[in-house]
Amino acid sequence: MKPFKIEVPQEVLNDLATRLKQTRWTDEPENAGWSYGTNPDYLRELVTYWQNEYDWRKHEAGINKFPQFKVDIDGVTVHFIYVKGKGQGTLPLILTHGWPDSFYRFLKVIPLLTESFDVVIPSIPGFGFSQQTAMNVDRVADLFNNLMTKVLGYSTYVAAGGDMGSVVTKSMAVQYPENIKAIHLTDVGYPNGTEDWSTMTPEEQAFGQLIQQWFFTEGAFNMIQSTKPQTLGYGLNDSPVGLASWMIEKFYSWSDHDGKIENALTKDELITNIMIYWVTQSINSSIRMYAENARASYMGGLKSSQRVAVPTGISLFPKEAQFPKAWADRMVNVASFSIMKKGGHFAALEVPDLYSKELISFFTNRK
Amino acid sequence: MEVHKHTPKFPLSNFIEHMVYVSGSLPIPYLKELPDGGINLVIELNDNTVNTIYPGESLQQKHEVKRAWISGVQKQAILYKNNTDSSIISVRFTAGGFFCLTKMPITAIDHVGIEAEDLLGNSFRHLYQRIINASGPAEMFALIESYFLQYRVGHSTEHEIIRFIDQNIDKPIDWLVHKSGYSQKHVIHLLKKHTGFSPKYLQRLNRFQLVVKEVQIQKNNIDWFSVVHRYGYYDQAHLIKDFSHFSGISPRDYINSQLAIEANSLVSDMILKLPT
Repeated sequence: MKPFKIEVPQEVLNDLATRLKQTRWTDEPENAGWSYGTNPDYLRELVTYWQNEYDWRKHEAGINKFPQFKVDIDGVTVHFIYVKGKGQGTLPLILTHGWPDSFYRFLKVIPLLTESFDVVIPSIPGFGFSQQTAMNVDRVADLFNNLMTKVLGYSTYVAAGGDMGSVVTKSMAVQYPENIKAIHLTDVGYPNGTEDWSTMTPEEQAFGQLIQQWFFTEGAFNMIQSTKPQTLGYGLNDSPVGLASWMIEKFYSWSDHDGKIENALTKDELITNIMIYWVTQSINSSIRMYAENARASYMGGLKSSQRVAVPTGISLFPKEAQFPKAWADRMVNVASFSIMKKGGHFAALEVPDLYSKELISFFTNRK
Repeated sequence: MEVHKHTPKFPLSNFIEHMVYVSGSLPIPYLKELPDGGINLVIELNDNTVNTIYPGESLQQKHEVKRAWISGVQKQAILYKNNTDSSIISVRFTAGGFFCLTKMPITAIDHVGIEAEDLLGNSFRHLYQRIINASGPAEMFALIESYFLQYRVGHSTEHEIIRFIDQNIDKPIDWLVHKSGYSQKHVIHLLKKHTGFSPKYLQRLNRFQLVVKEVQIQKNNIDWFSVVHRYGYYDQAHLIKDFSHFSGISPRDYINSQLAIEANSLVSDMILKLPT
């Protein structure tokens, strides 16, 4: 385990500036808004800001204020933030991010959680500063349990996550219930067509239909990332504007903002998250994780698909796909189910106060 | 310089990665062969040429070989004196391939430059005579293939496990062990028996080879920052230290060697231009 600080060489930033300047823009339908995908007007506005006002060094320093480490676990190098809690009796908590976010998803909640927790925020292998070895969620769960137990020495701990981080967290709970006392999720998984609909409540069936419809209108990214990620990877790794376009559409669609994305996330936050993928050139290995999950699903199934027996706290934010409690009961052992008034899929970044209160309330009540 | 590369067909491809014929020489004093986890058989086609190996990198300690020799379990780069009157065929075995074919214990080849005839006996002497009388590289490759096909090339569960581990060496060791169906202790024993290496060392070698390939493709355009993180190095110093351990030179010197001689792209596992 070795202390780590991000120090992006200036030539990487200079190269980025050149690429942004030389962007070969597409044609753009008039008044397209977000109806054909990324909003052309907003993308241009974001790129102009990226070129003229955004300051990576400021954000790099902001991230580096938190203690970061790299460690070799089982032959795979994992990057993580590790902030010990204040005082005695703090609970060890591992927070797992998803896609297209990164460890950056949880940066704002760290100071809000350290009264109660020792906070561990790893980068999933394939993402950011971890080794770019794409692996399925069950393998990631193995590594992260080893991180908590063998590397950091906790015999028991709690875990939370969102998006792909939810799936990793569920897998950890299924595989290592002796180590994990409780988990917290903001999404619990989605119907994938293999369920027996005759056993589902009308609310669950309605949710299943919603997800089917969602896959047709919003799910193409998931399909290509699960089947032909390499085809996509070259373009995204070569063009910062292409990468930004691919990612911010998701942030727009999945966060809570009433039509103006910056009501949920600032330009600086959006760009810093993109920068983590850009400077490490990790977009290709990050999207390959979808393909690894799909392959593992076909070839015997993932542990993360099994029902979680560990007590689970759920906070359902309004811009999350609204699953009924019966669906949550089917997926996990629901110990707490909160309907939130504000926030979306990236709750920790959008509404850090609300999200951290949910974690503190759920986990500390279970001490 | 004339270079021909040949990749054997299945089933021999499970054991031999490729063969390279190199004739003629460049005006360079020394060359280096990089390690990749497999064993190398080098056949000198000029009967009277003596080749010099420096096993410990230092020029003080040298070892002379004739005709054909086995690289041994190659933990690090091997330094050779360049021969201007040399023509060679290099047979690169897959990880564990040499052991699986010949059943020669790894302990018998744990040092650099063992005469092939001493290991493989009369049958190899006959092969050598036929090779040097062959009409050209294609016939030589065919003779070598026929020779190794005489060994048992059928199914071996142990070799399948070694191949699986070698092909997935970038995955977590626990997972590789789990997939093998054996205990960790037994998997380590199998790997050592077949390759001479521990899983950890094979992982390091694999990572080194990936960086070598990045350099060969990107050359001066390489983005070291992303390479450091892509392959799981802690930082640039870690990468440089690891690279130097396997190659004996720095990554920068390796780029320079790649830029110095065009022919390097033909023999990718060699360094033809060493830093002075």
